[in-house]
Amino acid sequence: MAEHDEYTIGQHLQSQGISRRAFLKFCTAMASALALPPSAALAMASELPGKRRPSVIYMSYQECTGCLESLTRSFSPTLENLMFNVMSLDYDDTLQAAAGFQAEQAREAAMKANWGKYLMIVDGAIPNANNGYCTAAGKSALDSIRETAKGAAAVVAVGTCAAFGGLPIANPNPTGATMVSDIVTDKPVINVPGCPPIPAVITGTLAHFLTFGKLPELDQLKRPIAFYGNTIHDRCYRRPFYDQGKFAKTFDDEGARNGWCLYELGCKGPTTYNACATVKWNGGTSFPIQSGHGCFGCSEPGFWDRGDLYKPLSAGLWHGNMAAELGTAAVAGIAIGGAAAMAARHRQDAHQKKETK
Amino acid sequence: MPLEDIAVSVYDPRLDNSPTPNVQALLNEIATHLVALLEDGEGSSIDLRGLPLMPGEREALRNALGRGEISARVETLGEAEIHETAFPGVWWSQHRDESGDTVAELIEICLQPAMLTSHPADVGNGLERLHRLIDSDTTTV
Repeated sequence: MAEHDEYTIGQHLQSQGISRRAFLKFCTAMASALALPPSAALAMASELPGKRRPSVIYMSYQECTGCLESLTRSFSPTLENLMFNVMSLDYDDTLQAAAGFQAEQAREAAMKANWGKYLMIVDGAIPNANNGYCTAAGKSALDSIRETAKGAAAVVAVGTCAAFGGLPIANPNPTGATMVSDIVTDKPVINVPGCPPIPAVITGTLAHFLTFGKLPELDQLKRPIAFYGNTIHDRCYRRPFYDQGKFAKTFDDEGARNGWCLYELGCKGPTTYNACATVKWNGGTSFPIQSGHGCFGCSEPGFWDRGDLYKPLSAGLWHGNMAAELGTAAVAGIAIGGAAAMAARHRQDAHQKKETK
Repeated sequence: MPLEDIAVSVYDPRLDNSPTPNVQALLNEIATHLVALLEDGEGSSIDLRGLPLMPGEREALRNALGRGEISARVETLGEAEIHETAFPGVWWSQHRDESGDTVAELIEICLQPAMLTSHPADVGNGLERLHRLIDSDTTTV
């Protein structure tokens, strides 16, 4: 581990020229984002500076790097970057300068020095069908996640790919992609889904774990309730139009121009739990519905396979590949029919042979 | 049937100066916290962003509390504006990031908000810089 990691968080803040007053502001913003009591900010600001920066290991697998882009290109860079003063990011193959064996040595050294205490962040789904898929530094993704998770205090699955499989798990799932919680079963797993997740949701979840040393309250899909406790529909500013039965029928009709509800245009807001409608994107500027497009439901499991993105929820959700499954049924039907025909043919042949004799 | 025969009254909050139930509840909560501050020296805060306030209620609360003698602007990681309300010990603080977006908005019930207090660690750093300034030939560090 690098020498600076022996410093406490307070010493690190001081070396970066960040005052305790600025840190108190950061803690106040984090407490507010996490719906913690305001007094928690004072506790965080007084307790954290005396602690060592926790080690964080960031592993990427089948992903597009959109989640890391979301985290590092957030609209409020200084506040979000303060996160990197609170934690010691010891391995991230996208951000770090080191490559090859030096990078792997850094990861192994961080794991050894912080065994049982480091936080592991996983970005991307893990291919499970063939142990050779997604090989890095001579290790398959499956071996790599198992090895790194072994010494972790907890694992944060960032993005829908890591949390629920995302795009890689979509039919026909050629790599046998799977989600983190199916592989890491003996450690606490926190899911932070979204394609990508909102930057404040990622940093808020990390801040909670780093400051309190325990998981935030989670829902049944292991998502932090502070951010995933309500549906997009519950907090949507277009909700009154839904209640009044006023719906846009096309993207350019009078209803769309009047900002009516996008339910009939396929909005998945009623079944999607996320903070887009309240935290919003681009520094609180907007979110998809505010820009005139329905919610895709990207923070829910299996969203790529839920059928037509532009059909209303009332049209039903098909959790699978209809064409493929119908195809399989047809093949099965043909096979059964073929076997029956063969049996009939065999009976006919036997009868004819008997007649001939 | 003419409209006036239908038993419906239209409520316009702009014409009503009495506090809404939410504002009334918040004023009562502040009063309770003030009692705790006076009797036990215990400070507390209310996170306004965590409350489901209706449009106009934040302004109504702001108007009800008024402004007192102290107003401070803190410039660190974006601006923060902190002012004492017309009720001593009740402070309204709004924290913005560098883009001007509000990241926290609190009503603090205390003798002095922590944000306006110098931290010993910062004082120590400042003292080091002051010593360097005294020992150097220049007037800036």
